[in-house]
Amino acid sequence: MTTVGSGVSGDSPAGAAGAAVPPDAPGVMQRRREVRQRPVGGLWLPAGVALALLVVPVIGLLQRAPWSDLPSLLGSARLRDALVISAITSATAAGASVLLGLPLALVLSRCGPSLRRPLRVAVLLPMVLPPVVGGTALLFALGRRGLVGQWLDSWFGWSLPFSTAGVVVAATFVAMPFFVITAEAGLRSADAGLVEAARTLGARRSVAFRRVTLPQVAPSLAAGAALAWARALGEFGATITFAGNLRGRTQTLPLATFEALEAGRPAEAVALSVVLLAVSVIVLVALRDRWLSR
Amino acid sequence: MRWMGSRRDASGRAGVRVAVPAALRQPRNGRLRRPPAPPPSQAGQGDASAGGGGVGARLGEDGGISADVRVSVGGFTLELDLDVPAGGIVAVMGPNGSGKTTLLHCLAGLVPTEAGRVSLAGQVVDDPAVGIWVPPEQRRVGYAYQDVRLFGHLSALENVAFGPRCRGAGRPAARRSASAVLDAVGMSALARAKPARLSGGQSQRVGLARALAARPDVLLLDEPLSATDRDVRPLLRRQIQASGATVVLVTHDPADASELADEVLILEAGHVAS
Repeated sequence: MTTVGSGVSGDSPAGAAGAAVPPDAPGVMQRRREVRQRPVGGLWLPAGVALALLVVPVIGLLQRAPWSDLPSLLGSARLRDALVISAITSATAAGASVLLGLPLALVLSRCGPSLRRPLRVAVLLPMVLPPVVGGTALLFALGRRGLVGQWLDSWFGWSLPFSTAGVVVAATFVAMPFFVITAEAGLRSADAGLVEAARTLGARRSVAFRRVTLPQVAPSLAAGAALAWARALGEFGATITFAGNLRGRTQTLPLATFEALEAGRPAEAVALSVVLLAVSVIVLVALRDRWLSR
Repeated sequence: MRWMGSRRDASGRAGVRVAVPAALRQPRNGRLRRPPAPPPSQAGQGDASAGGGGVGARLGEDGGISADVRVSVGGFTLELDLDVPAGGIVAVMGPNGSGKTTLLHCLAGLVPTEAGRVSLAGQVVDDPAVGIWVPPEQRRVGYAYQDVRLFGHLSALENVAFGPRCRGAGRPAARRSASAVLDAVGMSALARAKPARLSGGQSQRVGLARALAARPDVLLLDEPLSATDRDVRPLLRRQIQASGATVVLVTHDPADASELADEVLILEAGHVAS
């Protein structure tokens, strides 16, 4: 107590008994702050290079954006088609990721380590796999003569490749792992003691899950869904491999952007990129509590 | 039905049996008591209750708590024989790791017995030898946890109303009874507060209210007053007595034991110390 800064003893209303200095006295706070690490001078240069690599392309894009022509460019039939296809397929893929991914995340969070390891590999593989490889794999699994596709074709007459449904399948393939991993982490950190408390209060397992676990993990589920949706929206490789690039059917925003550049319409490509960039910023803002506030 | 069938042990009924003097088992005079619960309506469970054991009439089996169990949790084994008459209060004391919380978990159905039998309020709820297992939500227990375990997304009032809601009460009725119980533990001023805003002692009072609000036959209290202010403890003790439930009270506070308990059980390393 005596080592605390000298200002304290003057201000404190210590009586004859000599009241102890509270731990949150000003002197103590300052000491603690000094211990925190600050960036050293030599770090700024490499950190700046890394930052420039990340930020300069975005600035370049915004600087070239044809702001005044943006409404008319985005109003063109070709881009409107791509917008609609992208909106529908990415939302459906995100929804499918949640609906199918939540049970998988639950299994992952509750099964023993011997089952969890192979399951994790299966879930993480699409995340690290080059999307083109994913698209090729989908083609040979779900194509008309594929492992599963032949049955879909002969039983239901379904053909997924080069269809809008195929875009959804490809996007779900690459996006669902993002939801599963995020949801699993949330479920794993959920407090099992609260479920026990709910059950001793008369809640069946399903009720305890709905009324105690779900509210607890809702932020994780929302974050996972947003990530999955953003990944589905940006999906390119698996989509073009599995579903092709058919305007009005399978041509999403990224595919339309690529085509516009290839066909020598850079203004259109920049306009589309600005739209995708805006969406990304919105996702980041929506997740700010999770990633930006620490 | 029972989910740990492979660990069943029909020999059962091992363990130290402690005869508590009959005088100690009598409820004290002047205490508010609810009459013992009526015998269970489920015929199957009634039969099982009559068939097993061979111990003769056990005090706890006609409405209180009767547990003659062996429970293993992660290398630790608890073996004891406990009988509490309906409306009785037993205090369980003993050093850390002696099995006090494991006993409550066993009675609540959070951990299955390896061998033996548990009967609560006249209903056999766990007897591996005959394959009876009643899950926690179907046991009429109220449990105040040592680590409180309030639901963080619900207000104090909603926490307390959770039990009545699960037991079938409508939302308005559940809120009414919850606010009455919160009032009884002196927490009505903070009814709308989320648990994060409550102090340790306040949380504990809400946790106790939540256990009481379910109107349980059996109250399991794990150091329910440890963080509360000394001057509210008499009030809280009165609420525990007034519940009329059969109570197992884990405590380190000799005052709790002497004020509340009809008998005191001392555990040591998973056994009743003699």
